[in-house]
Amino acid sequence: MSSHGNRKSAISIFCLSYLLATLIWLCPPCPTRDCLVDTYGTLYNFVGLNQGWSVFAPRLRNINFHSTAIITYSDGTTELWEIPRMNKLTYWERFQKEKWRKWGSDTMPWPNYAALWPDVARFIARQHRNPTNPPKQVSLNLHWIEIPAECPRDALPEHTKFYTFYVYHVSPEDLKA
Amino acid sequence: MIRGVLAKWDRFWFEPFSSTPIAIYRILHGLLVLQLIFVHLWPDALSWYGPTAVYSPESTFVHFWNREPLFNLLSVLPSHAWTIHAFFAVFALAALSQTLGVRTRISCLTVFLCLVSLHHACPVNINAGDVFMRLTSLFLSLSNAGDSLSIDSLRNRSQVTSRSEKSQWATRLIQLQLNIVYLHAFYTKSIGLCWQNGSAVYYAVRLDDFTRFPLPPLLDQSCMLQALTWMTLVIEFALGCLVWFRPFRYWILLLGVALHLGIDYALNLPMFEWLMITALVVYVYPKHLDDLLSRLTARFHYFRALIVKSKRAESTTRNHQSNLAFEWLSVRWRKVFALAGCCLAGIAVISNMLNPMNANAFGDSSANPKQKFFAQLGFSKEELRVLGWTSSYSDSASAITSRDSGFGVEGNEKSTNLFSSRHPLSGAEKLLCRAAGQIMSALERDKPEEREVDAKLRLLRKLADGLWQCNSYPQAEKIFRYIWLKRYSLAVSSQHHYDPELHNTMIGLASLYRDWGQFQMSEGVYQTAMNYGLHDQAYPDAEARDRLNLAVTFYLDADSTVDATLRTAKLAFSESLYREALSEFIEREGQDAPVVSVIENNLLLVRRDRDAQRAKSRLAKKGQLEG
Repeated sequence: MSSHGNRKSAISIFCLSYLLATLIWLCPPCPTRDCLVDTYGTLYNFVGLNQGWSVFAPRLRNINFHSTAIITYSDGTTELWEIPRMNKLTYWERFQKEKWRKWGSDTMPWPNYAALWPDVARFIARQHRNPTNPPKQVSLNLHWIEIPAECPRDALPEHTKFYTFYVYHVSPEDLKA
Repeated sequence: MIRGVLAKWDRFWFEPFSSTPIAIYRILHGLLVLQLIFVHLWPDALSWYGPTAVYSPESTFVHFWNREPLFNLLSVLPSHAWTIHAFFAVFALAALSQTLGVRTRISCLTVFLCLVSLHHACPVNINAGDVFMRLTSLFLSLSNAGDSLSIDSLRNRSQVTSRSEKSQWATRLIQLQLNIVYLHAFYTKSIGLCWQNGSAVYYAVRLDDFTRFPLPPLLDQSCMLQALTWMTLVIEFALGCLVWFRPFRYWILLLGVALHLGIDYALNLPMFEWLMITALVVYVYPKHLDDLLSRLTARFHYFRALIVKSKRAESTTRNHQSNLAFEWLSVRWRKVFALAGCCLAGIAVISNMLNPMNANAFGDSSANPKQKFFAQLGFSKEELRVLGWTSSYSDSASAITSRDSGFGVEGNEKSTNLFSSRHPLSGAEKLLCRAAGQIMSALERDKPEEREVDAKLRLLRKLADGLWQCNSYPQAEKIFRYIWLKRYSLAVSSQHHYDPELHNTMIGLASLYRDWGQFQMSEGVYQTAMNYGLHDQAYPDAEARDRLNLAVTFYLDADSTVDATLRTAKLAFSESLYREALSEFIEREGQDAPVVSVIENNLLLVRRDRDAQRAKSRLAKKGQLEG
């Protein structure tokens, strides 16, 4: 076979493998699919080919929420810190701070990521570092409210329900840069 | 036959055509990467990727990626702020080179590697748009995107002419990737109840963290929102497969652009919509793009030179039109494929409607999916027979659609109507509600023996779990409450000291409330369960202790308004529970397990609260004495 033919064969194998692997990857979970994905999943993740396109699907959340942190300092004073809230920002700011929204609404407060909460608390403590009055405790809170079944878009209720999902006691090592 | 298939495969992937579409896409993609760098990432780079980032590299590696090996350039660079800025400088330079078409393949590959590194270093701030950007930058690095509209093409005009006749298989990959994106989006939406009943757009535009511009009042009507929900499904399906058919192509692309512009107007998703809109350019016929560019650049000779046309321009573009429009297939085969596509779509929609997990109120006539569904819920054949579901589904189906079906259908007027719901219930939900209603009515009417009551309550619990799985929380809650009441009556009448099933029901209800988002209610029920269990010291296993731990957490979080004496007592008890849970977890999972740190923190919190409570009491006593 000529080098041109070899090249075509290589490209064909690559395209076919990629499409097959992607289709299997995106199949609904089942033992066969999981077994197949196990064979190439590590490589797929390593190269960065992992993907998922279920945007707003299959379920849409029916609550509005935001997260806050309460930082308690050594002298007992407290300070409130909010992850940037899109509806309180200007158009430009909410455009620019999209990554914060993504983190704050899809990752940070949810129990699947509970193992990462100490990191979040430490990050917030570092942001409020004060040598004369260091932070002693950081609590992470969720404020939320259900979206009413019939409600105009500009009259949505405030997030009046409150839930503390994590409390962290800050040590001096946490505040080191 | 095989030779024919191979020839068609060869023609699809390797027939040469103009590189204008992929070149335009390269430029637009590059501009979006520059936007990502300068607007969204670089200003906050240290918060996401720096030495003091939100998540440490170790935590991300362990907790997010489960210690899987990953390509990440940042992990091999020294951990300093200047390294991050240098990385972003290289990234920005690569994106600029890609946009201008300087060393196009290398610059596209660099962009891809930088994106992979950033996504692996911090996977928590990326959305589907970022993933699409990453994949397409890989395909661009494999393509001939630099053969046109690039500085590379200006530098090597003679070589480029021959190069532009090369196959554009990477363009095909991007086209197919787009199909995969839209078909997967269509599939995952079509199984969602809110997409089936048309309420999805209503909720999407009311998520206040996504709010962008106000919707025109006309579009904010419920009927319009329903229409928009279903239109989204139709357009995504069309973009997923019908776009390959020439007569529909531009109409579908137009609808796709309208869909994305509409979403971009209403929702704040800065990158995603534009990434998808720009990617649609790879579906435009090269001839049309070449003509458009020729007209636009007619007056500017310098820019005109950028558009490289092959010697076989006319014949090639004719080929492209046919190529991109599936005309390399014979008319007969095109008809067969179109028919097969429509059949598949029809089957997908019908199967979704028939699937009891997803079905809407109108589709319920197939027995097999129901049997499968109820088998998944753990119903035995005997139980199905008791419920009358094995004999004839048509009776159940007709009962479901009848107006009077519901909780207490047998005449128990005081019973709550399980069918009252904000949203239409699916066929499966109605079936479950009806069965629950029948069992409850039978229990009230027949007054069976204790053993039979127990069996029926177990069956009710399964029905409640089924409704819970369908997200019918209010209906499931009512059944749970009923089971609780009955089990409590049973325990009292039989003078049982402790009924594990009653305890289990309480815990189940508390978990349901928690899943539903009713945290206060959940806390209340957990407390009751805790008190009930405590009374009898009935916590034999670690699972029960986990639940207790959760119950105490709820109790503390809710900052219960019980009186001071009771609160102090409960805090003291909480501490002992935490101690027990702590030793249990340390023994089982080691000193460093995340759950251990949670318990330790909660223990500290309990002690602090208890001390505060004691101090308060002391002050109160002192005040009384002084008074």
